[in-house]
Amino acid sequence: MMKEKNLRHLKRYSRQMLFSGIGPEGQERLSMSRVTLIGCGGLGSVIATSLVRAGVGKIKIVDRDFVEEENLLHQILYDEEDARKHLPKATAARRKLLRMNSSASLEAVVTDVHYGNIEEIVAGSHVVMDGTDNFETRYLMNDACVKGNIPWIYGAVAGSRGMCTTIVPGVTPCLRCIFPQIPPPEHLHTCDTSGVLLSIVQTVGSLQVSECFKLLTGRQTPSGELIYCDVWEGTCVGTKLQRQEDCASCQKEEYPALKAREGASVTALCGRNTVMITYYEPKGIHLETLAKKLEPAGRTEVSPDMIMFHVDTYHLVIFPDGRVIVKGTEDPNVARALYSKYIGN
Amino acid sequence: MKVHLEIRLLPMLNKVIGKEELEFDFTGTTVKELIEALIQKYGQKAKEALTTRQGEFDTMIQIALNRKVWITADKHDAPLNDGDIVTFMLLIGGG
Ligand SMILES: [Zn+2]
Repeated sequence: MMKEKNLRHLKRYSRQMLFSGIGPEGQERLSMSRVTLIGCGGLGSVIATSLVRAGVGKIKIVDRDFVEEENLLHQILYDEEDARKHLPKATAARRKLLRMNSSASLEAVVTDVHYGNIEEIVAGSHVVMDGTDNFETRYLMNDACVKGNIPWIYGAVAGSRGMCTTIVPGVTPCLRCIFPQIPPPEHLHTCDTSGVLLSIVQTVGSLQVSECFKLLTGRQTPSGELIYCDVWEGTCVGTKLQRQEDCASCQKEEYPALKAREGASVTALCGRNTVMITYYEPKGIHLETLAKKLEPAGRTEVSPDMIMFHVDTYHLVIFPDGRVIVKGTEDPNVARALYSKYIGN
Repeated sequence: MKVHLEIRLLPMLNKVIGKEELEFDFTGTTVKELIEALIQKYGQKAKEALTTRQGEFDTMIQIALNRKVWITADKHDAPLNDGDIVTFMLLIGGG
């Protein structure tokens, strides 16, 4: 029985094992590895697909978002049905990935990443992969990974351009060495503001995956370079990065992103006409109980993953971890008001 | 005026200028004039590295003053002083 399984395994991954950079020992190491992917949009789709097909042992997929039609261009894991059903990306991704590799061990976590849960999310990972679309989350990942001595691989795209680098605590510069602080989010280019080409998403995601395999198989030490690509110009170049002597994360060990901002809620504009509210709620929200409370006020649809609640011209999507996405306004105060009126704090 | 320029994560511009850091002398007092002077001195390649195909400043490039304050694209008339450290850096956020 065991033998039969091994033979199947050998056949399935034979082409990867033939590649000298991986080999049979490398494949064995991949199969025993634990990788956490934070964010499963464009880059995350490419990363998750590659990790699962390559036979990485355990993969945790963390995402706060749900599938929408405009995701289908460059988020290759999702399809029209996922968008119609507004499925959480982590759940939809897991389902699809299991069809690619039924022996994969996949954990889907539908949650917002914040200072209260990031250390727990990355704990025990051999490598953490960046599939996020914002620097706030990347700073959290950076500080938690540097503190926990876990390598992580930064990647970002917009338009036809993208960049990535491997961050190994104590060895390479960390994200805060490269970008000590970040300009206001409204001045940063994302896929929502500059558009994006699927080809750059696939390029950067694939570079991240190759870096990940090098770390997991222990075959090569990271270069400490940042790789920059522009698929429209057809260029790809490396830039050597420097560690900063006064870095608050990897030198002073202050980890500013992990400092509790107690009592505060995080309200972020995410996409057009949408505000997200996160209250750090250790106990979470019991969806069925809340749905009963909401039903008299407006149309309420409840599923194991979320509640969709429609009131006036607003649509609220409520997740069990206490996170709420308010559609129909860009005003954080309106969103907060709806939150306290219908969900409470 | 003379500023200390740092060019980070902009390989195209690094190539044109030949280094990542330099002391840069120019006539003018604002960030906008500094950008114009760079294009003037280093020519078409520098222009391509700093502007879009429509000829506007490429807002994927962020500019930091003395490694502390970000001079966002809407504030390029911000004044500079002798000895300021001006960092040009490519920042991409999407995923
Ligand atoms: Zn650092």
